[in-house]
Amino acid sequence: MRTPLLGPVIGLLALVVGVGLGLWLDPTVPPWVQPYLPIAVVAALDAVFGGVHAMLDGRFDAKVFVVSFVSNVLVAALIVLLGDALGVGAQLSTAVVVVLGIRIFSNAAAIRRHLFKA
Amino acid sequence: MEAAAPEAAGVPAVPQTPVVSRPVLPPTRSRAAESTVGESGDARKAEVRDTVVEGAATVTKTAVEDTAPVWRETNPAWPEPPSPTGPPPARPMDFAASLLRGLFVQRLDPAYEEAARRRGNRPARGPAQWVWLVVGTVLVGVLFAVAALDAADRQPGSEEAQRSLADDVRTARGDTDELARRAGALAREVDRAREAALAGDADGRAALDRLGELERAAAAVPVTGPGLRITVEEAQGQGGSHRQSVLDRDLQVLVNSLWASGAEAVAVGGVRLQPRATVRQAGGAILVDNRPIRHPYVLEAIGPPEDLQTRFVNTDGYGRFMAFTQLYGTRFTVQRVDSLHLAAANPGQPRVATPGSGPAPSPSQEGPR
Repeated sequence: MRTPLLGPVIGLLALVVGVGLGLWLDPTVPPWVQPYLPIAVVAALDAVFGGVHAMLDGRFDAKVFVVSFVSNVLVAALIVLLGDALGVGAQLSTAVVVVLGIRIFSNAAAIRRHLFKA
Repeated sequence: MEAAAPEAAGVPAVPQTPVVSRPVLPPTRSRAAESTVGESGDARKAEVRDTVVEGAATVTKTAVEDTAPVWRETNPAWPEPPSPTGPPPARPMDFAASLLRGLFVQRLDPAYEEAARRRGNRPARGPAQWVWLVVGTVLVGVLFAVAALDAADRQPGSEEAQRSLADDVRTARGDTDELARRAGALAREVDRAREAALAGDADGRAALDRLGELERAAAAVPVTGPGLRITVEEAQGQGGSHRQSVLDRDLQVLVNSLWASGAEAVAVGGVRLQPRATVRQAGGAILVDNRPIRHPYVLEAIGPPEDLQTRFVNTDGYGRFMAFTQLYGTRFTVQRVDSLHLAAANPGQPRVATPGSGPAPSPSQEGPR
């Protein structure tokens, strides 16, 4: 990223475009995917916060960001799928949310430190 | 406790040598030593605590060396600050401790660190970066939007559940109707078979006659004949709705008046009354033999119309409903009908009581049929 502000602005714009695209396309979610959407959202949030943290650290790598996002979502969904198959879906969902939630918090804390120096 | 020096005030009586010239231990070392408090003996505890007090390092070097190094290496409570050049060197670490440490230490995802190290700590650049960034963020945005739409879709889930429940009810009702129809057809078949079997000899014919009598009395057969049709219509209330001024007990009085007037068969709202049928209210609905009937209430009674009407106008029920027409504006009409057709009622499982032989008959003596 040559100019320090260009990357975040592009990312934000792409995010807005993505949201608009999703709202506009309004794809029908197959019923078997529905239980994994909330988990996927949490996993995506984790990737986003990690990316912002890395960006503020000046060590952002877009490829790592995309790979971590996709793998986060897939692994989280797989864990929940496995849990559902084993009959402990709720517990494993909780585990995934707790772990990702802690990561989100720690990344958010790092971002806060960077932005507000507090 | 003798407080010779203010720095040593908190130290229990331990042989100590006030060494002023000792170098102050580095902070990491003293913190690490502090965490050994639980493990060390009393004397050592005192020494360790002493090291925390700045400038009053009275501990001997060997005492700290005894305890600190091992714990310093493995203690998860004091993680080293993440080094920018890479992960800290591998060390024996308890799994749970490393997990917790990984969770709670605010450090960058190792993948980013590794990527940065591969690039030699220079920021990533190039067109591929932009493509990856745009693709990734667009994906994230789409996911968020889809999840939000899905959540919004599922908001009226209760409505959906209600609809599906109503569908279930409709289906079950249809099944019930179909089964009732089949049961009726089968019963007719049984009746025909019984008639064919019994009509052969005198005993059988007598039994059939008796059976027919009982069935008529139990309202188990449909009947046709002249009679009265009585319509009770509530007055119109506000907004096109009907006031509920006619209650179950009013209809009960009316039905009893009809019986008293010599009616042979009565139906209320299309439901034939059998000997055990009831007219009662459940909330706003009138249930006749446990089946809801609708307003306006139509009562049909089979009997000789003239006699029936003459006697009926002198009964309580008639008087009560005539009063209703004046008090509440209820419409109450009695008309003679030449031919009424009343369906059969379902008298349910017949129970036959037989007189007991002993002095204390058992309370329930039910026949098999």
